[in-house]
Amino acid sequence: MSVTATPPPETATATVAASAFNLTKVYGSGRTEVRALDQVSINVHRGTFTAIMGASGSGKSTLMHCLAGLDRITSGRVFLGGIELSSLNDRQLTQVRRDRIGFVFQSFNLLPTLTAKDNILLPLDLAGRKPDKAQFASLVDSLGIADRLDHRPSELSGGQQQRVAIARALVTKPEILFADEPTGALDSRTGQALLDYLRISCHEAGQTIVMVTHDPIAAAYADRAVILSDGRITHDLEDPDADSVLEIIRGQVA
Amino acid sequence: MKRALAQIRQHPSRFGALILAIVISVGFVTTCLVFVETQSAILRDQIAASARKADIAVSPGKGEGAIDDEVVRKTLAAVPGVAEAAIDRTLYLAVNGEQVQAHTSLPDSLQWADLAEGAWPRSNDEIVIGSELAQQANLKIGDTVQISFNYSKLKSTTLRVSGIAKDVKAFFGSLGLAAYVTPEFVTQHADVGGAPLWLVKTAAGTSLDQVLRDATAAMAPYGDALVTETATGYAERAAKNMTSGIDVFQALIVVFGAIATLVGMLIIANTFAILIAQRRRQIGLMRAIGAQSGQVQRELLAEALVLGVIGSVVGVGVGIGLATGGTALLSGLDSGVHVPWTVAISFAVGVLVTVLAAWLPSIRSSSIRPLEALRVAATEGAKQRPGWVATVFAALFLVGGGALLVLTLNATSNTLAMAVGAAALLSLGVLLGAGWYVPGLVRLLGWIPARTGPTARLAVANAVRNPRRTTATCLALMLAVGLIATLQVGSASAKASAEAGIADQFPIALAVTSGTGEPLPSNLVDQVRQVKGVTGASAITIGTVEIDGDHWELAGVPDDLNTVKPGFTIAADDFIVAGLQAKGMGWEDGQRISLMVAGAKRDLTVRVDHLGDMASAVVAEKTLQSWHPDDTSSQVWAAVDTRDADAARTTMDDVTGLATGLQVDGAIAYIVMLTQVLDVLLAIATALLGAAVLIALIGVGNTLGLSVLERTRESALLRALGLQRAQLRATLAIEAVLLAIAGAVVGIAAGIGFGALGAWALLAEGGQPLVLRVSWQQLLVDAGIAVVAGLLASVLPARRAAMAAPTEALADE
Repeated sequence: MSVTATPPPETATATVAASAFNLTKVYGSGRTEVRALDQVSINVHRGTFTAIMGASGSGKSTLMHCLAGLDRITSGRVFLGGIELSSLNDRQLTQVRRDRIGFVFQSFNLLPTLTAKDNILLPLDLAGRKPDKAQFASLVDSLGIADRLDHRPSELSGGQQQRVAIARALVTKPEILFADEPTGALDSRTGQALLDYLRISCHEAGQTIVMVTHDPIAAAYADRAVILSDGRITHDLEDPDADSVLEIIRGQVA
Repeated sequence: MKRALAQIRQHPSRFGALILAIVISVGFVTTCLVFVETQSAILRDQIAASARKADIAVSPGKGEGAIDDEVVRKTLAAVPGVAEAAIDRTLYLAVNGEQVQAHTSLPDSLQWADLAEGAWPRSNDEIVIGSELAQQANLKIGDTVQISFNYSKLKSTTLRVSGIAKDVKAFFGSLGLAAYVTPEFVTQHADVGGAPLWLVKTAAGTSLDQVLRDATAAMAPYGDALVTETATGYAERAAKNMTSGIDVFQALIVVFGAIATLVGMLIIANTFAILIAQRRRQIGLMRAIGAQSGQVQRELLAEALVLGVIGSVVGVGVGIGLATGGTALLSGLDSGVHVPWTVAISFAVGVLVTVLAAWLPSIRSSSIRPLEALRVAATEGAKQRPGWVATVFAALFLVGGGALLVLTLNATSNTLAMAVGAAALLSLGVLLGAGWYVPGLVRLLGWIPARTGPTARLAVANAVRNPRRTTATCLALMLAVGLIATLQVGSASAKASAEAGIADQFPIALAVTSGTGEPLPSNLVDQVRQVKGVTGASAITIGTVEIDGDHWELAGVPDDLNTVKPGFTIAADDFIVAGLQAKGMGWEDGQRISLMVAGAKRDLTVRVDHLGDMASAVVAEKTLQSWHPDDTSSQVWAAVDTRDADAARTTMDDVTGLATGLQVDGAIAYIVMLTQVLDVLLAIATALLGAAVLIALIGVGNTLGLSVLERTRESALLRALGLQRAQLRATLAIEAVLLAIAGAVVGIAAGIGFGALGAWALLAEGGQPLVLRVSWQQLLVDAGIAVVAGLLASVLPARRAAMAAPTEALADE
């Protein structure tokens, strides 16, 4: 499949949750220059579950960081919910992250000094907003962590910690949930349960999800798999299955 | 060792604060040692100044015997090889009412003082004065001055200033104001006395030993009465006697230096503990690939050694530099700068302390298992209980200190020593047991800020997450603030108590006498009455009367003394004596006695009153006059309306300024003197302890900086979740301020307690009751400084934390 072109920003909000146009990210300069991303263009549609894949060093994490406003880009344009991120100053960017984006990382998602409940409510707390009690209750119930709310992260298992992280990511009802290798530190059974939950929240609640992973089996849970190599998008698969993804990646490495 | 140096070279900033702490401790002690040594050398030079140019000195010895000074001089001059022999006499005069140490002028070859301007006195009506006296009394060449002699019946005389000599200022006090007169002037007023010193200059080309032998032989007839020695020998002997006061000062310096070093040690230990915690993974890795735990420990100690050496070298350098600067400012660098060998000790202590402080944390490093290298999460015990060793000792010290305290409060002698002991034990208990209450205290203090929002709540949570580290950081601050507060409260209370007690002890607030021997101006009484702060003044006559064969100095008081002492009356036959005097004479209050006064029998009534302390006895003025006393002089006694030291000082200065040569005595004078002494002591002590506080605050910044490094991922996570940069900086600032306040609160509380104890102990020896005075403004300023410094300490770590982009820290480990 080929790379799709970017529609004009004005119509983006309706169907596109996030997009990048000729996005380039360069680290260092001169002889030590590293092109992490090279002229990448992509649209992420609302209510879809997208997997960004690639071998180590392909630029997949960098792409996610740029789309999520975690890092500055060298050239090109990045949009989130119709807002051009590159035009925002640090203050505004931080606010966007707080109010409109949810994050789940591979590990170290939670603040060790706060309880699970405080961790979940942290983004709302930072924004000075009070949580919707009903929504909160249904969220923690659906994740099966309602009985662990008073525990500190050190008292939770890996899987429980990740579920708490997802709850936190979803509590602000974000435009997009970005997940960076969310199952990387979990065993296969727990990991699959987590991915199941993500898929359900996407298909049944309409949550847009972008997940970075190197695991083809995880990619199979997504609606679309975008594969990068050396900073460029090489493949864009719809309804990916584990085997075809695996073959593509193996081919790239060889 | 190689690896140790590599570590230090790679991350110099981590060790920056640590080295700074060492530099300050070592530098401080070095500065003081060098300064004291240099000033001592200057003082020694001054003392022995007389013999500076001479080759041989002959001084009075232990033996007795009538000595004709001039004969001795001539004998010495006649010794072969002697070029010049002169007598340098030291005598005490009052010049315009100021007490002065005067010397006789000498022939040029032996004249050891330097002239700034003018000429040496050529005739008996000329005088050369020292530059300090010239400045103080506002005199210049050509002025006439009034000379009077202490303890002598000689009338005063006037001399003309013919020159001004250079005075050298020294920290330990010059030998007072100086002046120079001709030898003939001294002979004219022969009974003025003055200790002689014979100075001998040998001719060029002669052997000093030979001349010394001949001179000694020539002096043999006088036996022990005279000591003949080389000038240098004399100088050393004279200097030895003067150093006892300096030794005390030096001991004080060392004590404060030790405290600063102790605080520094706490910081160093804390820093090393944090460094090791940070390097868990590195250490785990080394253990995994085969390093023995002993090797790891030795490596850490090697790092400590290198840091200790670097810090101590810089500290010594800074110390010598500061002392040189101080000396140059105060006394000039003519004598050079003397570096005592004790500086080497301070260097060694700096290195030793660093290694020792790193030793305990380094032991903990051996408990890091190889597996730590593979773990991701930072392990911190949220529920760290203080170690049982520290707890046991803390309990012991508290119990022991408490017992000693009870004993002290009931003691009547040696109270100060016991109080210091009790305070020391209790302090140790409080410091060792800090782990039990500091985290709780910080949480308590954080309760209010936590209400204000998520930023503050995060800060409070962070402040208490590692109880051990929080405690260690606060310890240093508690110690430093505690000491300063103790001194402030102690000296303020001592002052207040003394003020309260003195007014009762001294019967008269202000007694004005003439310092020149001249009678007081007749209108002085009226002038004194006009001075602001004076509520009443009375002119008193003093005279000597022979009573029962003894000379009594009596004070005759007029009726208007009741303006000075309200309600005071005196009858014509009242004889007022003080309690002790009455006891000694076997008299009681109201007793009728019969005395032989000036050859006539008088019947008098004894009154026992405090007022009797003002002279041998006090009678009515008319009564005194009827007894025809000898040697009459006058005094003015006044009452002052305030006991506040500053107002009293102004009043006293105003009174003294009414005429030249007035001297002031009495309660106010004593209070002012006491206040001056206490203020100087307090200022010095506060400055000295300022160093300790500085080190403690470096510790706070240090802890924060290293915590920031540890919490990089957390900070990045928070930034990703939407915490603004300013908010992140704020969390660190709040954390720093919380720690600073916690330390200051405990320090101030301890300071009030120990300060009161110290003042009480000091006064108890004299039987005085304690008046507790706590200057809340001063203490608030102390706390304020702690807060401000805490904020400053957080600035750099906060900037570093806020600058990192969220992704940097979230990247793969």
